Amino acid sequence: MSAPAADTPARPLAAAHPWSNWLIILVPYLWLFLFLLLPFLIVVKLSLSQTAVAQPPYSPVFDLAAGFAGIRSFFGALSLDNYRALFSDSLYIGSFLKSLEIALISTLLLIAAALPVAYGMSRAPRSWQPALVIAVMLPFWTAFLIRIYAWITILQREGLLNDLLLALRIVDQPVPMLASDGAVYVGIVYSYLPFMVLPIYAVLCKIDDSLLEAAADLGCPRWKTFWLVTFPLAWPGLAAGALICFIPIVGEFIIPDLLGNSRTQMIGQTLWTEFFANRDWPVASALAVALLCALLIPIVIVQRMQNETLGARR
Amino acid sequence: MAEQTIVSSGKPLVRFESVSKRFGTHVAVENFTLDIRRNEFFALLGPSGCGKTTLLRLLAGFETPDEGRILLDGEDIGALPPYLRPVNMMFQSYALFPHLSVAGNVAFGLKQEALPREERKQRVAEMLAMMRMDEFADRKPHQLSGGQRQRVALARALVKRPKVFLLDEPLAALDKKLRTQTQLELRELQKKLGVTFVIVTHDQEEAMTMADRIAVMNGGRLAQVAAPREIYEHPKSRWVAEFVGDVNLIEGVVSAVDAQETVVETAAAGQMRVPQGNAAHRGDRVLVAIRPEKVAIAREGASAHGGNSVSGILRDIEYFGGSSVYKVKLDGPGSMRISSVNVSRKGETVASKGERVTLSWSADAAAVLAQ
Ligand SMILES: Nc1ncnc2c1ncn2[C@@H]1O[C@H](COP(=O)(O)OP(=O)(O)OP(=O)(O)O)[C@@H](O)[C@H]1O
Ligand SMILES: [Mg+2]
Repeated sequence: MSAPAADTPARPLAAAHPWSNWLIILVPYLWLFLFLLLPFLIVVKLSLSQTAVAQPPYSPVFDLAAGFAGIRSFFGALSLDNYRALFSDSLYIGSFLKSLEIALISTLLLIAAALPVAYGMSRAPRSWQPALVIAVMLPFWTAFLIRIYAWITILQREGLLNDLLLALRIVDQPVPMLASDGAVYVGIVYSYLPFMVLPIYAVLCKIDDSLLEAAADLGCPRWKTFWLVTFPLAWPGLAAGALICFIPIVGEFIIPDLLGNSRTQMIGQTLWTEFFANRDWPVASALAVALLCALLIPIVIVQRMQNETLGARR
Repeated sequence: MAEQTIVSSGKPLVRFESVSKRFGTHVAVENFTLDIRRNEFFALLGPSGCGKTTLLRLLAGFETPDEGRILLDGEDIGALPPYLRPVNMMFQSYALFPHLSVAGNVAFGLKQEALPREERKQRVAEMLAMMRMDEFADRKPHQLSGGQRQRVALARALVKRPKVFLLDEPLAALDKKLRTQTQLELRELQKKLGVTFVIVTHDQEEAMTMADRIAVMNGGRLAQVAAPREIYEHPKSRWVAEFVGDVNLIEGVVSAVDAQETVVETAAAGQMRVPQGNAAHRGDRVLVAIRPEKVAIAREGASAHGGNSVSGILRDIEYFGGSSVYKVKLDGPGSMRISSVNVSRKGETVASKGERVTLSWSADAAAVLAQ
């Protein structure tokens, strides 16, 4: 077939509706602009403002009626004071570090819990696998908040777990479990497990069986094959899962609020307190912007690594 | 077919003893008995789905036989998992580890053995040099061409110095030219290393050029095992004769048998004299098998040579460059295909289409097969 003939079907469409192509590109950008960039710019502006006992509770307020001078004084009133406040008060840095700590430990726990699950799923008979995937996603059928409340009834002093332990005579008085680091980890690992299992499973079930046979053929027992072949090949899935979990865990609010205590104050809770309890919108906004910038770092790192492995696989 | 076991000199390296393997109700390998000798280049030949891969996988340990035993060096290896068998396999898809470099792939098997680091490095380097892959040692498999990947797969298995090296259709992915070249290289490699090679192929020419002996399989059973020439010139059955190469089969009835010759009365070509080979008795309905290149073709009237001749009309000529195939409708029922080397460049043929021709062959060119 000659080249022009191959071209013709695509051309008239594009030529007849050039605007439709633009529209297709425009829609997602418009969406991103309206619901991501614009709110973000507002938050950035807020973070550069000062608290005021007023409605809205900050100044300066953008006032077009004041004309050019108004705009000048508006920009003149913006400052980085809130960011300085963030770094000078150990409350913010402390809760930020605590968030990172909890997110990091939870992500490792999640990997440890998800890897055997995903591996078992990928080794199950092909015909079972769709059912197993549905089983992993089944908890989503119940609202998130209700599932966390359920953990309260399990972990509290007169909860199910303590009842069980008492009944089995493993302990002779109730163990305090709620309002602890442990309870927060249980809640997080429980809630995020599907987000870790599914990407790892997706990678594992793509691994060619003949690679595992080749490893066995070359003298590698099964458990060793897992570490030498399966695990390295599952790496992109692990990275994706870690990223998907780590970032929202850093900003997690409900789980530490319901299952944790004052020592497990995470950045999300601090943010909430600033916004709603202290009504210090500017500091809260500065906190949000700083958090976002900090989280960009792991995103960029993982993207880099994934590009490399994707390039390697083509 | 236990009676087909070859009685070989010395202990065989590999012995399949009445091995059967079923997948559900499907029988992939049935009552299979075969000896593979030490240091031989052995080919498993058969049509698609006849159980060749299954046989290799049984030997490598990826499948366990339902019945029978597999012996390696006289020992039953049935209970050994694949990673403990001194057998290595080159996979049809090569199965190179995508996350390891060429050198990493080749070193993988040696790392599973308790070898000093220095020795391991040396053996990897030697093997890469032998395969002319040393300059690609640091590349990943996806950065290699098909032929290079194949050499890495070879190196990765051979560096383990296996007792038996299994190759599952190693050349299927290569183009014809590279395939022919690799066939020769593989053979040289086998002679140099002195390792027993068992190669699976459904390409009969490949089996013929490479192997010391060939086992022809059909539907999970062993049809014949012998040297390539033996398989080609003395096929045991109609199926083998037809599967390996081109053949003319002429039906007939045995009219006389003596120590040297079998005389067969055929409707197509009258009385045919065939050297005594496969046992036939007077009155048996048999097939006389003649390979196309064993027959001489000439215009009718030209002097025929050999013990048998038959005439007919030339119907068609297929040109293959080096040779041509002539299709001749016999005066009796049936037709024959004759292949003849094109000696001249001028394009003249022995006869033209529609002309009457005489076909002739010497007595020992044909063989008798059971019908
Ligand atoms: N794991 C399996 N489960 C079910 N049937 C199988 C399995 N492996 C092989 N078979 C069947 O056993 C038969 C022999 O298969 P095998 O792979 O040994 O054939 P082959 O001779 O290697 O064919 P090819 O030349 O196409 O590779 C085939 O009919 C195949 O469908
Ligand atoms: Mg096969």
